[in-house]
Amino acid sequence: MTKKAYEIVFSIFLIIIGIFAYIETYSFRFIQSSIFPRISLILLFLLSLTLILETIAISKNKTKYVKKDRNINNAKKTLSIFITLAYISIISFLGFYTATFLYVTSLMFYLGVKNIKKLFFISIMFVLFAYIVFKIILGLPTPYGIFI
Amino acid sequence: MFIGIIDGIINVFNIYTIFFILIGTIIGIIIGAIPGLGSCVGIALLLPVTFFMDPATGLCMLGAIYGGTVYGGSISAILLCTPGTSASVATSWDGYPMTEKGLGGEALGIATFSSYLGGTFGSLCLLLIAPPLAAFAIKFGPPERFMLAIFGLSVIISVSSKSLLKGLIAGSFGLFLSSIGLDPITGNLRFTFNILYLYEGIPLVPALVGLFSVSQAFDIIGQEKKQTALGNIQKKIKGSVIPTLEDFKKIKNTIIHSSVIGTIIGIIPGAGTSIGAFVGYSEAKRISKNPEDFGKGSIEGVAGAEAANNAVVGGSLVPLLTLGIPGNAASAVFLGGLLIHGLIPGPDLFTKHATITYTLMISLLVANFAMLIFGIVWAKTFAKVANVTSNILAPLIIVFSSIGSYSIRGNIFDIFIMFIFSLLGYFMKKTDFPRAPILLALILGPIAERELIRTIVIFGGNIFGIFIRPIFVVLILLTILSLTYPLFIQKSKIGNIKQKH
Repeated sequence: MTKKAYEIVFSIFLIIIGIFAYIETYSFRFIQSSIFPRISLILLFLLSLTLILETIAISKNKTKYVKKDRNINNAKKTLSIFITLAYISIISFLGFYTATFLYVTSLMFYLGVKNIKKLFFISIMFVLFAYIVFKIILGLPTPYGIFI
Repeated sequence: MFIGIIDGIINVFNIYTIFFILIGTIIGIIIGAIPGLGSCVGIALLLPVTFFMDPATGLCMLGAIYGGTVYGGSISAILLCTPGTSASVATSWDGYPMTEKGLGGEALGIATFSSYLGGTFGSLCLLLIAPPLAAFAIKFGPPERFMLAIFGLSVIISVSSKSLLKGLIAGSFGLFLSSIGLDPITGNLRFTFNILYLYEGIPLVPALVGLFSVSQAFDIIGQEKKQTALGNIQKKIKGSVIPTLEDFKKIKNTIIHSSVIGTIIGIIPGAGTSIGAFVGYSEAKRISKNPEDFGKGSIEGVAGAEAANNAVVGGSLVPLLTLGIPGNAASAVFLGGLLIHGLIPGPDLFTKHATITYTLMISLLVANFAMLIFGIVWAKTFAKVANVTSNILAPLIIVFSSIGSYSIRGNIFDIFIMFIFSLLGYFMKKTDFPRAPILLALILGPIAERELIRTIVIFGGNIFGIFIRPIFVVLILLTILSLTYPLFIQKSKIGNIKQKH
């Protein structure tokens, strides 16, 4: 996908949000509450539109491709994002530390840490470290589920 | 002021605070040494953790992380020619050639001492300049506070991106996001769609952590680093890292010049550690007796860049603590740290909360000294850490960020907010949209709106009355300048290129 396309897609996304949000401001009980949001939304709409026009105008002659770095694997990134979403979703079901152990192990394995001993060692050590630092030393609250 | 300094010293020198300053320094150096992370990630990652400490200790730790990350970048810049942070690019120009000549140890030592001296100078200037400047801020009324918020936002917009248009879009979007939740004046609910969770608006810490830390973790996933054999690093670092007396004589003028430059650049809102480093490097070359050696392994080059970039740290906190204007993206994130402890930048920080503020300022001096010791003793160890692969690093950052996001309010939805903002931040990074304006708009948006409404109420009958207030007019002019200055620079660059051809 070209950089131009990314910019246009993002700008369109912002414009759509801007339009819907602007319409929503008419449902506010007090007109005073809508002043500031409307100013920011109008700016957002106009600036995003300007960016779309500028992007199309400037890159009519040259197409700037997002440099494909051979060292970057986009499929890995995408699936990693989904694995992260799954992790966040199961935290409140399994408990933070259990979910973290599963997440760290599975993600590192997927990203290429194939040495099983190293994998489990890092996962266990990290969860232990997190437990000691967050729970015992700092006393931070963590989500509980059916496990810790 | 003197009483404040004494209070600060007493507060800093207790085991609890010193412990967290040391921890913050070590973590900062490690994060700085790992390419791809940087000060914003370091501060954002540990910010939620400081919520559970007393404010003074928490801010001391964040300050130590800030300084540590700026110095840490020099380690990988010198040994691997991969600057850990943008502030260390200039360091690599002479640091890496020194490593190739087998003088890696000497380069590390020069960088360490220069960072210490520059950082200490910047911190001392913070201590001397900030209090009188904060006293001046008492004269600010609602119009000035409104304009200050807009100026602060304009500064970050103009420096955070190569494209002013993208910066403005990010700022506008951030202002819209900041209006979600309860209207600060009327109590009207805005854009909540009956979702109870959104009644208090977008929570700052999860948004901040998502935008800077987790998005960065997603960015480094899949980047297969060329593993530098650790054995090679060991061979490259020969000899002592403590500079000789002769080295000190060569670089003392460079360090003095660059420390002053770095501090001034830090104070000017909008300039940051990388600009400080580049200008410090250029100035070092200009005053050097051997400018032809620059780029080939000159110790003055390393010293100039490092003294300047660490001096920026203290300087950048001057406008932040006194006026609430972040000097750069890292201090914008630091502002989040102040706010979660209920501290509002301005005169109150130096009156009502003077003890906390002076403790922070004194702690920077302690953190700089800790950075010196750790740098001398463990620079080679930190270099090994820079080789940690993204396969291990990314999941750890995400987990850390998740617990940090959850811990403030104990609400699982905060982690989802972190995730949403991480996707936003990741996509913005890919499309060269700056993220700092969104963060700053989330912070300054409610302030700007509240002061705007107050201004309208106070001056309602004669709104033009605000234009005879000199500070307000100056702030308008500064805002216009900060937004138009990048355009002038861009036009003059294009003009120069056209002239050359």
